[in-house]
Amino acid sequence: MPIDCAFACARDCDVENQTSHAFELLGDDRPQFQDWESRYSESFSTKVISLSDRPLWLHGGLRALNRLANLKNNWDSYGAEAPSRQAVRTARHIVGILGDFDVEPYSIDPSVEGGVCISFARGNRYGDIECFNTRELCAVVSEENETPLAWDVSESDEGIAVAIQRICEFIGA
Amino acid sequence: MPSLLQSAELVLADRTKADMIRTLANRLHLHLLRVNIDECHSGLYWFSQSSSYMTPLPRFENPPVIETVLGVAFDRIPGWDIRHFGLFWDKVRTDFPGFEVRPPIEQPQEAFPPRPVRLGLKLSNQPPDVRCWFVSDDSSLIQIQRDRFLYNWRKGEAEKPYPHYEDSIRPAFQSQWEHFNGFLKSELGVSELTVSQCEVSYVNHIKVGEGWKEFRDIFPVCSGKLTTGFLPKPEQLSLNVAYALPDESGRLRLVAQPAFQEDGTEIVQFNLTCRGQPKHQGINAVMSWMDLGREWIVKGFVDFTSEAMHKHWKLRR
Repeated sequence: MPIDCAFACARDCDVENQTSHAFELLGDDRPQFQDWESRYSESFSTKVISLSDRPLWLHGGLRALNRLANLKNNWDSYGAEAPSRQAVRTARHIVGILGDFDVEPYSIDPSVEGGVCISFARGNRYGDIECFNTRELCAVVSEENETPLAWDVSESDEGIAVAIQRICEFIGA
Repeated sequence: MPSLLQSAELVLADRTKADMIRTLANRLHLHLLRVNIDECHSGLYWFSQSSSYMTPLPRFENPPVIETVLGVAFDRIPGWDIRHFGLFWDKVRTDFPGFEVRPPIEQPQEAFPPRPVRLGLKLSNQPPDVRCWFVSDDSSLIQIQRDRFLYNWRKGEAEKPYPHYEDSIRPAFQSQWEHFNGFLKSELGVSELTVSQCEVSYVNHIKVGEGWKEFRDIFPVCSGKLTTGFLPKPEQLSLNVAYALPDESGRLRLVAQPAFQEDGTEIVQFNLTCRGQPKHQGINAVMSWMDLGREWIVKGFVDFTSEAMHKHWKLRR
C-alpha cells in the first residue's frame, strides 16, 4: 500500500489531541483502529507479532531489528552506544504496528545517539521515529532546507499510531 | 440409560485390573476414569463408548505449550455491573493480585453447519462491556466479562515445566469456576448460569531451528508435492484448519502462523482451539466437555505434527 494511502485523516484536525478516535474518519477500505485493537480480543493472552496476513517486508524488518540487538558499543567506531534491549523491543513493537497498516519504513538503523531509528522518506520529505536507550520516544519530520519539527511520542499504542499518522501525512502530503 | 456420573477416581494396586476398569466403565457409562496404578500408568483414562476400549492420552515431557485456556461462555449475568468486578477481585486478590482491563471477547458461537458472520448495529445507552484480568504472581490468569469466564495457565518468563492438564490446570479451572458461581449466588442470587459454549485452547511456540527447518518438518500435511513442481518454496505459509467433532459436539480449529515473540525470537505459533456446547447444564457437564475438548486437542496435536517433532518434545505414550 502506498504510504500516502495507509492513513487518512480529516485535514486541519488537531493531531496532538487524537487518541483512540484517530482513525474513525477512515473509509471502509482503509485500515481502522478498531480492527487493529481487536487482535487482542482473544481468549489467550500471549502477544506475538504475527506474519500471517501481513506484508512481506515485515519479516525482513523484524530480522533487521534482531541484527541491531547484537551490535556492540562503538559499532560506528566513533563511540556510539549500542541499542539497548528495551530500545529494540520498543522498535519491534512499532514495526509490528507499521505492519498492521502496511506502512513500510524506508530503513531501520541504529541511532548514533543510542537507540533505534525507524525512518520514512518520499521525495525530499523525511520523517522518523527514534527509540532511545533512555526509553524516550521522539518523532521528527523535515523537508529539504526547512527546519525539522520534532515532538515527543507517548509510549502507548495510541501515541505511536498518532505519530505514524502524522509522519505519513507529512510524507504523503 | 446414561449415568449422571461422568467421571470417577479409581485407585488400583496393579495394572492387571484393566479388565475390571473396562467393565466398571461400561456399567456406569463413564466417560473417563482417573486411575492411580503406578507412576507409568496413572492419569486420566478415556473410555470410548463407540469402541469399548480405553487409551491413556499421549503425554509430552517437553511440550512447546506456553499457554492454555479453559473458558466458559454463558448468557449475560442478570444484574452484573462494574462493581462486581471489584467485589469478585476482593475474593481472589490474595492469589490473583494483578488487575488489568481489556476489551471484551466477542467470539461467535460454533454452529453446525457454520453460520455466516452477521453484521449488525447495536444501539445501547449502556456503557460498553469490559473484560477484567486477575493475574497471579505465577502469571496464571482469571478473565471475566459479563458473559464469559476463563482460566489461563501461562508459562511466563521463567522456564517452568508445563504442569499438565489433569494434574493442575483442570483442577484450577474447576475450583475457580465453582468459586465464581458461589460468588454470583451470594452476591446476585444467580443460582446457575446458562452455559452456551465451552472452550479449551492451547498456544504452542515452536522456535525456528529447534528440531525443524521447514514447515513440513513440523506439519506432515505440508509435505505433499505440487502438481507440476513449477513453484519454488513458499516465502510464507500459514495454516487454518477446522474439524467438526462427532455429534456436533464442537469444532477443533488449528492455526499455525509464523511470528516473532516480543523478544525477537522467531517462532511458529500453533494454536489449537476446541469450542462447543455441553450436552447439559451444570459443573459435571462443563468439566466433561472440557475433557472432551482437551482430548481432541491432544490427539489432534499428535496427529497434525510429525513423529520427528514428537521425539523432540519427548512424547511418552
